[in-house]
Amino acid sequence: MSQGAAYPAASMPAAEPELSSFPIENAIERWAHALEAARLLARNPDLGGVILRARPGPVRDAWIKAYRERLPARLPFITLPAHTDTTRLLGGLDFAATLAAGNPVTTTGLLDSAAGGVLICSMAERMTPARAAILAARLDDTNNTFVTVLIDEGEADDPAPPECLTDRLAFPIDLEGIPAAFATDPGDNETPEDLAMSMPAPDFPDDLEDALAVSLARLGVSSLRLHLLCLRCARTIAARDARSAISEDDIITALRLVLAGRTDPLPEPPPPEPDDPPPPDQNQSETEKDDASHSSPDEALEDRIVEAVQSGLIDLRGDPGSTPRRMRQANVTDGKSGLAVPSWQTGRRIGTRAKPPEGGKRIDILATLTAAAPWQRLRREGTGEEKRLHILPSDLRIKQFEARQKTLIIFVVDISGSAAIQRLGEAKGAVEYLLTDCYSRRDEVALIGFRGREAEILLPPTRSLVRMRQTLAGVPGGGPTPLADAISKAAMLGAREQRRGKTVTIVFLTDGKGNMTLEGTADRKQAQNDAELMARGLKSLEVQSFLFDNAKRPTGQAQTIAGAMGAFYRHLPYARGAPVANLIGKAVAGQRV
Amino acid sequence: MPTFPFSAIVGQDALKEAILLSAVDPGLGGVLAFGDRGTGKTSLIRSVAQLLPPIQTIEGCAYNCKPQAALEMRDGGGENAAAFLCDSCRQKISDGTVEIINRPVPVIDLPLGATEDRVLGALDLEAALVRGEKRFEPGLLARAHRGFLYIDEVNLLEDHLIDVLLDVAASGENLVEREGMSIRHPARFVLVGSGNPEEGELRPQLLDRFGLSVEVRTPTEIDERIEIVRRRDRFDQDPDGFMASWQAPEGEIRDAILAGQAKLRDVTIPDEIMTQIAQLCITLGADGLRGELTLMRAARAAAAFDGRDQVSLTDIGRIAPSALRHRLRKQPLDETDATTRIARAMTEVGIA
Repeated sequence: MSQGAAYPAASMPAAEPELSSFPIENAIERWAHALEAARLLARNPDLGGVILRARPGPVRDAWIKAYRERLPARLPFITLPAHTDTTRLLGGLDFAATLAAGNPVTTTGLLDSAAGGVLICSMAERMTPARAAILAARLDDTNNTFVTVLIDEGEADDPAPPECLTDRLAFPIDLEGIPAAFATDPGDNETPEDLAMSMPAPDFPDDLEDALAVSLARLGVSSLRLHLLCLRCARTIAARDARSAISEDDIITALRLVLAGRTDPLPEPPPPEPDDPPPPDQNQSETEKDDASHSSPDEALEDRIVEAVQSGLIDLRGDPGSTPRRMRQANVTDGKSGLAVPSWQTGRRIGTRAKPPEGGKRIDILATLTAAAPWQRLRREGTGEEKRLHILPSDLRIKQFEARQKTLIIFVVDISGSAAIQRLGEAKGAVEYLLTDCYSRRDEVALIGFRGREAEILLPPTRSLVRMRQTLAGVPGGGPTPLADAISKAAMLGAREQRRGKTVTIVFLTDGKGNMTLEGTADRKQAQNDAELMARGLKSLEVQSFLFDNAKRPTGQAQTIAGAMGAFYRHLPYARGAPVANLIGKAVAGQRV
Repeated sequence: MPTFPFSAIVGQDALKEAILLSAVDPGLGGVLAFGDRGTGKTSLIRSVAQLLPPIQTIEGCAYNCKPQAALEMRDGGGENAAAFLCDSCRQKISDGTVEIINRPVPVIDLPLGATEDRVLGALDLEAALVRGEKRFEPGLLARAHRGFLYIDEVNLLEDHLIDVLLDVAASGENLVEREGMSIRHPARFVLVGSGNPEEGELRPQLLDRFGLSVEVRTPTEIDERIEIVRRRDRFDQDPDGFMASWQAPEGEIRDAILAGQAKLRDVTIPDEIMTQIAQLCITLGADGLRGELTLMRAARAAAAFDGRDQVSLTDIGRIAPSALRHRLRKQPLDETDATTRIARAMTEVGIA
């Protein structure tokens, strides 16, 4: 990929020695895919929109231009910046303008301005669940809806854009790494007016209806919205070619476009033998069972479709060496316990400040009016206006609140060696107690397990008991002990969540006997040194940490590590869930332990 | 454009029944729908609202005031202290400009980032700043009166807001005391909350205050999925035609709801069934008495909806899971799910 600020305009990109043919072909393919999406979307706005994975630059601009040129001229085309406040979004009283004019001045919300047109949302990966919910609700309002271009500018470990939105948008597009010279638009023969012309909708033959449903199930897609979007896309393709009925090829093309990046381009497991009796249980969502129980006369049709889709799915990754970011549920956070922190928006009211009300601060009307009241007569005499209330910026008062900071407890569990299963069980027990106790219900819990070469985040931060049970069922154990890597990963996760404003607590369940170095070699002395080094690193983070030593007879190793990280140390050979959870719960709440 | 008709919705039987029972008896305490996204929860509520006959109210009223009191006052009958009339309606009466209109049953969506001001109502900014008047601007609760209030992702809503909402839903009245004002107005609505348990749980104290709870799952049967998408597609192509073809079943459900509402007071519960209800709740170890009360009330609504005057054992068997599922104390490390526990207990007590 080319470094440097300037993108070459008309010439071919300078030859890069290691560039194999795959990235170029892939880049050309992805651009063609993106253009096709623009055409179909311009023709049928009911396709919802696109999820545009692209950082700012000429390629992204080129795509937006290509799309816009295919739309009727006067359509609203609104950009939604990443952090707009609700008034700007939904409309309401424009406070500053009202004061200035002396008459109520309202602003039209951005969402209302976009109705019937296109809304471009940048930095969608940072969208809060609240914002996403408002947008999703508006998208469902068929009288006021708009096409959404969701721009995803995230890095590899940023969350993906909110699923409630991506589920309503037909086309995932990835423009990462496409050289600017490839991003050309040959144009279409039709004018925007031609494109927007509606024709009688093509028919959907019954056998294709069934085949679409079965193919989606086999491809692992359970969302009914995506199902509907695939149908609409196939219909749009047929209408564009002026055909009276949807064909098998239309379905295949539609599936390839809509499912890019949403399903694995790996071959699916072979369907079960026809003579296996299908289980009667309705709760199975595995695709094989659906396949066996649904008697379709057109298995050949479905096989063709599924195979064609999987082999034709575009690889949505700019660099084949990187891990693809699949559309997954973004991390949802909300909660209430933890340190009390002064806030301008939410929480318990604790007072009033004299400051200007920008950036989402909430006006304390009563205090403002009280401050302005004594000056009214003077001010009125000054200007001679009778009725108006004279408020100057110095009178403005805003409300201050006290919000509770969210807490996160990271469990770091040694699942190496023979006692692995038991220790994991103990950790699970403690986590369950923490999650079900209604007073500390608002804590988030994460679990890092370490064995073998390195440590692994088994359970990312969550408040949900259901998710914990699902994720931790069947985690294997045993092998050497990479303690240093575990401490390091815990520190990284903790630091990241701390930056997001949470109060972090880390709990280690281990006997302290690391025997795997950071590099993955089995050198006991080096492993111990590495562990102590990482421990000191953790201390600098200033998170509250606990180390519960579960060795039957402590050798002092665990205590050394605890000392290096500044952790509270306790020897608990049988770390039962409830006592551990209690201890931690109390500590997090700030009580003495 | 019309909403997708209720009777044409495929599946989701548990949620449908819970909403219908709440339509017959809005005092049931609301419905909690836990489960997967994209299962048509919002559409279901809007479709019920569309099914019900429009409410009668006064033109320009933000509180959905009932016209009877206004008419009495206008015709010189003096003021009925028990009935509520908002200030704008009172003004219209004295001006003689009262106009009675029909309005569709309100369905109010509570947005996720909603502030207390927007929900409960607050000082009218415009009136205060521009004219120096102290006036109350009604919030979403006033607009939801005589209709439905839908909260998506209820488990992410701030606790104090859920508290207030549940209070209002239970008492039927919104009392606002802030910024120097004291306002009281009726707010009787069916509260429906939805959420995904994978994103966090509601506190048990709050869970308990919801009347019924149902689990909502994405359908996995291929035939069901095909039918759902097919109907939705047909509706999209020709909404009016589709509505017309489902006119008859919609009418039947509407009539059943209205008949049920009228019959509700006359439905009785035989003593043996009362005893069995109590035994069921004791066996399950459900906290508090709300479980029994809700089960009784919902069973009555079910019998009324069917046109019967007595509650039967089958009613109890069918409704117990939704009335009790969210009230059972969670045993950590016990993986048995609530529905199974209820089924076992019902067999023990002799209900099912």
